[in-house]
Amino acid sequence: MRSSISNKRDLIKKIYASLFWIIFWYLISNIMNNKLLLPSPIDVFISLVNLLNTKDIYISIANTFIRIITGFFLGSILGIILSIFSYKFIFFKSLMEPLILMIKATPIASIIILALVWISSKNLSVFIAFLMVLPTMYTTILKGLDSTDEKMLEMAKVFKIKGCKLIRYIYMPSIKPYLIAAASLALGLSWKAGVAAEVIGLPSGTIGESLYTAKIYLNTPELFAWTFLIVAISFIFEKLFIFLLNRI
Amino acid sequence: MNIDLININKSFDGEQVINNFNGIIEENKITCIMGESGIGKTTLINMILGLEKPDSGKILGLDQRKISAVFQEDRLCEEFNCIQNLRIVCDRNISDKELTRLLYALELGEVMYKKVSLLSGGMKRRLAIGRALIFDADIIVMDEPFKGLDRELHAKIIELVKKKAKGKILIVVTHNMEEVKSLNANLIVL
Repeated sequence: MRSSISNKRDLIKKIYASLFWIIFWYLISNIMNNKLLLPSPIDVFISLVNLLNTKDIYISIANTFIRIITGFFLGSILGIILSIFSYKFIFFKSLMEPLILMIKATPIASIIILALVWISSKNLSVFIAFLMVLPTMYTTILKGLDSTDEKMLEMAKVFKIKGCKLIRYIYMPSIKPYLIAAASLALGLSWKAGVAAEVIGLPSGTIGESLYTAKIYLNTPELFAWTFLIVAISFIFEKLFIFLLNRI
Repeated sequence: MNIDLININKSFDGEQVINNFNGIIEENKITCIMGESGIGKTTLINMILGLEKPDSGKILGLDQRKISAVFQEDRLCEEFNCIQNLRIVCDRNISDKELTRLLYALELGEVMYKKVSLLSGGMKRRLAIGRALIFDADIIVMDEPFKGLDRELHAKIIELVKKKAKGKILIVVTHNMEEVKSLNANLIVL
């Protein structure tokens, strides 16, 4: 009861804070009075409605979504597998350390440009999303595995708990919070980097290409509308995915 | 087959915890281990459980035998309910009815579908005892299992443990002489 009241309060606070910033944006855009530099929220909303009335937008969203989510899942699966190996074998962990550090430290723009040399622009966002997710998942899941209670592992050893039971009852409870945190972070990263890769690689019929076109034609309201869409899709997918993870 | 503890030595960080210990834990009997705090009772049972190795000496009679345990801390899966905590250590052929019967015997019938994290300390202790009893073991090791149980339950749970441990080796670490008498146990003093 108390938590539902506090959740409602939090929601109201968030709505007021958002309204404040929308009004602030509206006032600044009115003062500047230049759509090219800063369109008003109304201009962006109209642009968004216009976009949603075209067929192409859904094709672009579907193309980008499938690629980024493919990269996300491939990166997650490999990240989890590698973290299990690192947890089990210290030499493997040492082997992985410089590689993960290098991926994390390399600027995303360098990776995108380098990747364009190796692979087609069509698959670039899959690769970039994969590369963003891999170290995040690897590092976080490894932390979760390392935090598994030694005493519970001893209990499992005594009672000869193995296989699926060991994963479900002993490892999952300690990994789950880490998995949720990693998934949330990795999803945000994969959308940001994936769309950036599309803007550079310009594969046809994607959100990245549409963003670039809006920029070329100096259609700033459309640029804002696309940005809003990317944030919304990323947010909805993240919430849905975390909801499903919580049900495991 | 008895468990023979022969010339057991164990030290941690240079401090001798168990010094040349010898003892016999008899087959089909209850054996209580008593001794002051920090004297090495838990270390000794950890060695029987295979969680620690003696620095020197031998433990005979453990090969190919299944062991279950009640640890000093309950070590339950807090996110799962009582039935699930028992199921973890059971074969598939154990029915829900059997688990339910045990939980009622432990006075946990009313809370069997409650998450363990929501149970009281005493309830958790009883569930840990239940888990050790339902596991198909030849040897049951219990580290202060009745600590924290109220008087009424204390006697009832001791009787249940005695009944379920029949035909097995039961090793109980305790500080309470009354428990040794109630269990009608052999005594090893460290």
